[in-house]
Amino acid sequence: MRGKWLSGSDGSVKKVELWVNGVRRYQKTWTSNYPDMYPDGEVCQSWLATPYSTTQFSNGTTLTFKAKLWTTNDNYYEGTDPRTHYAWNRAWVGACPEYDNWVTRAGYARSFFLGANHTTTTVHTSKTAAQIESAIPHYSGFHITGHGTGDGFADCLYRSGQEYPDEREVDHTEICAAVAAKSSTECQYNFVFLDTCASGTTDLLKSAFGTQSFLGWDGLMWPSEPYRVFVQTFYSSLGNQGTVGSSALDAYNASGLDHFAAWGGTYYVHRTY
Amino acid sequence: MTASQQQRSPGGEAAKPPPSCAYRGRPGSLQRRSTASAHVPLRRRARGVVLAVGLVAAWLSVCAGPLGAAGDEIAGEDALAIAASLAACLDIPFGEDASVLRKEGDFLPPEFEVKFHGFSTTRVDAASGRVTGFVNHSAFLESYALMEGPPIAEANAIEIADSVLRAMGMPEDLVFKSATLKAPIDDIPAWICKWDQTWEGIPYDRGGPEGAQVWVSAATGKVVSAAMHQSPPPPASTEVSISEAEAVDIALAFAQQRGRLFPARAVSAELKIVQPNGYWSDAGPQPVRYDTPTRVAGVIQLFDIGETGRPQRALLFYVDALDGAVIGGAESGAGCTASGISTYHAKARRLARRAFLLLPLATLGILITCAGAVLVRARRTGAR
Repeated sequence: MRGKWLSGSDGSVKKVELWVNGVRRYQKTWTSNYPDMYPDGEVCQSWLATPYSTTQFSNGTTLTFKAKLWTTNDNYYEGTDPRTHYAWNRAWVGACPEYDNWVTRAGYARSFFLGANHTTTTVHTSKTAAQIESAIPHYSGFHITGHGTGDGFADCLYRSGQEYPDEREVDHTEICAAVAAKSSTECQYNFVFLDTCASGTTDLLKSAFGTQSFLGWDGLMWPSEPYRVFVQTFYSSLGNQGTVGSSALDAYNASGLDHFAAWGGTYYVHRTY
Repeated sequence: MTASQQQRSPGGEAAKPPPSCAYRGRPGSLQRRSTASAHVPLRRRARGVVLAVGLVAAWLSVCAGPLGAAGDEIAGEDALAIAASLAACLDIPFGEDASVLRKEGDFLPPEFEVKFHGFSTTRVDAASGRVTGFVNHSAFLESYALMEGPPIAEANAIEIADSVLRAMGMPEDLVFKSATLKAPIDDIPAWICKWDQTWEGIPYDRGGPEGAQVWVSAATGKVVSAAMHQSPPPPASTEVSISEAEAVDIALAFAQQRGRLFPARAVSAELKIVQPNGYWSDAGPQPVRYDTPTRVAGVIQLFDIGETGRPQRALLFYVDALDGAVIGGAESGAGCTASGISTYHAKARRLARRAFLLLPLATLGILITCAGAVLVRARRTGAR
């Protein structure tokens, strides 16, 4: 539900409803403190409505979205998303088991995805690049805590002083190829957190996943307490229906870490339909 | 015109600091916690003020001094009142749907997290009632609208950040460290202003939450986030008998002894107050709490260089400044290299590929040039 629906004479927002497959899934009415939306439509005030429900459609179900909005000047608008959507809420969560701290962090991700009605089985550990690449097409949420550079990431199996083993590294070109292998019913990536070094130094890895909603590190990442606090706070806030931006801000504030890189600041990760 | 409107500076004018509130936080050290007997009456008084004269007055009481004490925490409704008062003071929309949650972990002291007006947050130390941080989500959203404009000046951002910290009760031993223009979310520029928490001039290092940090929108000049973290207890001694060079040597020798290093390189060495975590001990890493005793140590960062000369791991050592013992540190993962080094990593790979292609071409080029020169010379010689 975006601000560009409204013109300057519409006033503010009085009521919104979100409908999925002909059923109203969300509604909110204001009686005071009416939210303003930017009349020129430059900013999407998507924080106005959180389409959260505990209903989960089976993966592959065709979804139709309709939004309805009433303004304080008694104007009414409705619109249907013209794109075809399919329910697809599957998350892959992995961790390099080299440090307990890392496995704990991946555990926060898994808890979040489960709470957001994503299908996610376990925290995968000690996976090869081939195993991870074969998994990538089939998920809409992705988190891994492990090793990384600006152009790839890996689970682990590092031996001191030796090269980063190729069979462990998932390069950005390999991510691209894996994402391109999605079938027509497999949703694009909703959210990706590469909890690995330098994953957010540029938008290379974000682009490789083809997602608008991405979190990574701009620089070193350590298996230490501030990073655990960051990841814990981030997912806790996200699970509390926060956006990627608000959750990252919370995590920054609590952990003291300032070198994260996030995209999709006003984006909700919850997709429970 | 509201205070928030005054701060907006799309034309690059100097943004103004937040309005001066009627209160001023009492200067004091964050790590000095109150005693029960001294502050229980204050807590009662604060509650009375909340009931009697409203939220702003409550904030006055809060900022006049800590509310609670160790073992005698403030209540959730106190935290709500404190958050509401801060919001009123700094012109942050508060709304009617605020919620409060008590959070307790080992690394950070128990605190109340107050969520309000969508995603704004204020964190309140459960023991002292002091605000340890807030996020102004409205200010964050406004940054999107004005992100195309020129950023406010660094000095301006520091002034704004400083005034907010003072309103929060900035301790005297915070020392300004840096202001960096970054764009952590959606490439929206922000000034990240940092203050070190110090003890006798030595900064604390907890790897993240130490001192204070303020996020000032570079577009609007509004404070998006501020945090003033509570530091662990000060060290028993600040005596230093190990030089920086000695600390680096100790770290290098220790790393080599653990088989971590090939050709090594020290990246940084600084004297700091740390919490020993036993990372490099035989017993392995030990959990660190917010009140784990501290020591003065040389914090040495090294890079573990792989067989091919590529940096593989970043290693951190805490070398006790008094006796030279390695009392903790950390280790990043393989390929976990700082952004510059990461770029180096990628560049090195590209350069290696390029060199592979260019070397034969260059050799061929040299041969052609030489052959050409020989031919020209032969022709000239022949012409004579």
